[in-house]
Amino acid sequence: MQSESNLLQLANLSSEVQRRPYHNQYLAELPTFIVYPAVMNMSPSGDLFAVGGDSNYPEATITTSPPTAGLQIFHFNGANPITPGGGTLTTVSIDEIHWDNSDHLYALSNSTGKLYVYTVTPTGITAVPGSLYSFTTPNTLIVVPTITTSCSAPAADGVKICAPTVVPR
Amino acid sequence: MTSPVQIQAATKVTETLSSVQLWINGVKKHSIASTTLNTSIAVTAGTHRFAVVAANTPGQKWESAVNATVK
Repeated sequence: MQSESNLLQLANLSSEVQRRPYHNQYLAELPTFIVYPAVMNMSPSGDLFAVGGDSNYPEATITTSPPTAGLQIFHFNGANPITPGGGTLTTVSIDEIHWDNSDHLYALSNSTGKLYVYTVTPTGITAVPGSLYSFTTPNTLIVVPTITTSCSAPAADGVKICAPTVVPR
Repeated sequence: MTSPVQIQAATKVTETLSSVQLWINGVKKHSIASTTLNTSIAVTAGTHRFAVVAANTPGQKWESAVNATVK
């Protein structure tokens, strides 16, 4: 969303929030984009959100500041405010963002012919060994996870079995 | 559920992870040094106990198990 001050901010709206008008205190809690949000995608777990910026995005003229390329991560924290996950991971224009079910983020930059791959968890971001990958004039990307469902680590120390599942009778 | 059975688990341990082991009916079938386990294994028909045990280098262990029936 774009606030009256022309800041581009990220909000998550529940059905409850949608019935209430925004107020200044709520707006102040919303994190702002460092990059100009041209593409975005949520992780399968629903707690990580990636935004790709494109400096050539046509609608970027709606902001007073120049559009900024790059890749930015946000943390969705349930009922608590969204928090930014640090600065930009790269400064090139991003055209596509995908996640697999193993905490991997794939960001394709057509203009530079680069594919960035990161392991992104709520506690850290690291580049996958061997990335970044170079391609000649890439156009689009599809990610097919080899793990069919997401199995995130338990919140506390322990083991969480995601499969096989026991169907209640 | 039919054989082969996909076993998928995620772990979190303090200290350094030593191993994550898959046990079926009390028999160790698989062991890796990764916080996530994702493997398929042939299992005979019947109800089996699938247990995943994570251990850290000091020797602490965490276990979770489910019973599942293979047709």
